[in-house]
Amino acid sequence: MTETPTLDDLERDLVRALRAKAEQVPAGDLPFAADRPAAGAVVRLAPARRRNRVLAVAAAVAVVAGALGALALDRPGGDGSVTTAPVAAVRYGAAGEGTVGLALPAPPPGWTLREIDAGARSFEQHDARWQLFGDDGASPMTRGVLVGSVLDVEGRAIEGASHTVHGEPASVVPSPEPMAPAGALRASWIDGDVVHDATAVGMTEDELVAFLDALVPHDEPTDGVRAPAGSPLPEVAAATAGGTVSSRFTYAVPGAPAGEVAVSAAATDHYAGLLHRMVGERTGGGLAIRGRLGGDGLPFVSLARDDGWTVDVMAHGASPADAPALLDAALAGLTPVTRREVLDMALDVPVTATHAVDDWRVEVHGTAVEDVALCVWPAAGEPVCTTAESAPSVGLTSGSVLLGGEWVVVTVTDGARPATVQTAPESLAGGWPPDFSPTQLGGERHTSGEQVVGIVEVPPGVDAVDVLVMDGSYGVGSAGYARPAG
Amino acid sequence: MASDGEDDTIPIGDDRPTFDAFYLDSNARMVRLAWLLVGSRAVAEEVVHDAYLAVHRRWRRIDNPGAYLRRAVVNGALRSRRRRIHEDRLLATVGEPPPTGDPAVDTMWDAVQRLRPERRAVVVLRYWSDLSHREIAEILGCPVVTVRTRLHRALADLRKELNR
Repeated sequence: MTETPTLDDLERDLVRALRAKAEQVPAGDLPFAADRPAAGAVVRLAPARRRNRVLAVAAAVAVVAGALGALALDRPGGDGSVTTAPVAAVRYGAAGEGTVGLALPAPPPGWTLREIDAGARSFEQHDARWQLFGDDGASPMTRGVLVGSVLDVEGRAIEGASHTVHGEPASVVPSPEPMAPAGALRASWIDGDVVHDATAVGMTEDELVAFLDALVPHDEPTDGVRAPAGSPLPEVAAATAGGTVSSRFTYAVPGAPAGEVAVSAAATDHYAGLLHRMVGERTGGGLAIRGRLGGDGLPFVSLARDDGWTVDVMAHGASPADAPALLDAALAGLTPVTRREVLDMALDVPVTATHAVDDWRVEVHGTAVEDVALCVWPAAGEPVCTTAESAPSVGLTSGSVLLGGEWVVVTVTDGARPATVQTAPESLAGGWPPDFSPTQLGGERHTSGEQVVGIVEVPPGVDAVDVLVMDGSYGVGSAGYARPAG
Repeated sequence: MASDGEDDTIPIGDDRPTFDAFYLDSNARMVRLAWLLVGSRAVAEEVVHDAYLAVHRRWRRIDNPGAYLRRAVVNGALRSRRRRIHEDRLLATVGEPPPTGDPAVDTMWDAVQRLRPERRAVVVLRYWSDLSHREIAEILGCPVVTVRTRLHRALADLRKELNR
């Protein structure tokens, strides 16, 4: 039986191990190349593929979900070899037959579908704990505090600390959360490696600090806090938020040349729906928050629905007079949709390209903005269609289908930048598994006009893949797929 | 004495060494520091390269390039982990140091690699770079108490791992 080392023994072993391992690294013979670009600066994300939580992004706390991208490392030493590094934050394709998003199956007259992104499963390294304290259960609350607790993976520091909470430096500022009403405050402090953010309404700065300081931390800081007996604001709700499934649909609207309504939905809201409970207004279908974003006053409505989904609707390019009606029209028509229903919507979009691949055929359906569906016609048998993931800025369209029981990933790229497909972990919850190394998968590539069509059969036992497009030494686009349900 | 360098300060003005001399003097220990934080030579070298780029661009404006560089390396290493940088299988097996053959070292290293990134950072900075809690706090931009807490929890994690 192994003895547990004492702390001193452990520390001595630690020093010895770190020195021994560091000495194994033969560093120091690489020339400095001032003209080589920084690796950290070349991450390219296709902008359309984000869960459209612009609201929470503005508060610097949002989950980036649905982002497509890849980073490649130009290995130093000048040998030209490339290390690809997937950073696809989502997986498509394994959500089964349930709801994969909220859409307008029957858009209002004159509305035209522009973009589809549904069933995007995103991951968080650590779940966040949200707790709502309030003077009553009604929404909106006259006085309320929403406290979030999550492991501090970002290495945050409290800047401009003006108070202390539980003996730790704490900052209190006007809330940057666009969904919070005027006068709301945000307090932040760090307890060990757990960061806490509190959003409060109906309280002064001093009242908020006094309230937070009186809260009792749980033994495990990620569990949050509890109100002491007799607290003026008891805990009325608590929930955990982590990874989610989300969708985004955009529609061109009449009356404005660049007018667009964007509908973004998530199965789990960033605040687990509790911000809506604190400041939202009860409507027929849930709790709604209305407002305007940023300097351009972009109108939005965010609805925490009674079915658990949260949806944000924004009107871009519409006149202030038209925007409220557009938002209401979108809200009125929103319907939970399955993968099959999303595919039907995508297949209603015209075919924009047909590629012959030996005795196969690949048809692409596309809007004016992006490709939305792929159909694969094998030499014999029925065609198989799927929604397409598209990164127009890098010329990548891809889809994942089951053909005769085989999992096949189809890619369409421009000729200069063919796509590669490599294995990936099925789940990124808790971060990339430390013992997982991707393997590039072989497949066929066929030239079709100015484009290259790739067909890759994914072997059994592979749970997920990333699709990458390389630009020289750098990856500039990717999509992640989970093995489709049979 | 610090394993990654005795002194961060270098003269300012005419006595300051050239950037090339600074690079040659510090590169090896910075790559080793980054490697201890990320566990991949390719990623470590990229992180260090990016850090030197940042120093190079500010060479005449930085009072303490050594400290600036180390902070850039540590924060770059933590960011690189957040970006989930990973090598493909081929390159992952080329050039990485093999096990040392010393079970105590290899077992401990395996446990260190399983630490959360923020805890691994304080462990490496404390026990390899031999920095004080305050110096680590300055590098990571966090309160000293946070460093103490992370170190305490990291050691607890290691004890738990080594008990298996």
